Amino acid sequence: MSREVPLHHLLGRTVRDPHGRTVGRVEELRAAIELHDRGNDYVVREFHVGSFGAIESVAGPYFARQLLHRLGRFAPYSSHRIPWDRLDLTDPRNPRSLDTVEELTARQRARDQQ
Amino acid sequence: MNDGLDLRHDVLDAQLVDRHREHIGRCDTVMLELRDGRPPRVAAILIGGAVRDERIGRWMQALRRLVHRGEARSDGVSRIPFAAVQSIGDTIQVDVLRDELPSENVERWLAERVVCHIPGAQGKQEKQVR
Repeated sequence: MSREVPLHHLLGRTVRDPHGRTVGRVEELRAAIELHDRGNDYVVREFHVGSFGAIESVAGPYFARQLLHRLGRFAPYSSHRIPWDRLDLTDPRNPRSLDTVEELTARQRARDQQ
Repeated sequence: MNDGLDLRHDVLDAQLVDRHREHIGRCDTVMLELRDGRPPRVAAILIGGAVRDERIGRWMQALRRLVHRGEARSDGVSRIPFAAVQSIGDTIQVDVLRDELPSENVERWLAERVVCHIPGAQGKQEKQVR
């Protein structure tokens, strides 16, 4: 079964983890081409969730992060990339991450170190 | 088109042009098809009508209801399948014709009833005929 949801209903929604804690807000959806027999489609691969994601979507993640680090360590910058299969969109107005904040932070840290 | 696409940054509010590169408005929203066990599919681009009003705010929705009170007309939303997108850059080119879009109804009405009565407004057409 499938249903449709407008993009602007998802953007800005608060994402919570399985314990009900806030992960951040949906700021960007990254899509990629999926090839199949009938042609190809763009499908959403990951959701960018973060406290400063709006800057990120304008300036790019690297620039935003560097800027915030320069501005001071007081800014609680956090950004997470959640794969499509780890975000529960059963209720699009209340998206839920299947991973906890700690798991997402650890994954993001590992990605930053690469 | 590139492999990766940021839907908010690259598509939402982007200028759309038809196959003849005529402006047809901005992308007011993108419809995502949520499928069980499969990644959400980018299904269509919507332009104009109630979708635009919803993004502007409640006052615009109320104004629209007031203007179209008691009228059984189409909602003026153009739905363009994402498969019709030909290129994404500064503008998004889609394989449709401007004149066939419901979202252009107001533009057409204004052109036929108002703009064409302004002196000199038909100059462009006259030049094309010559």
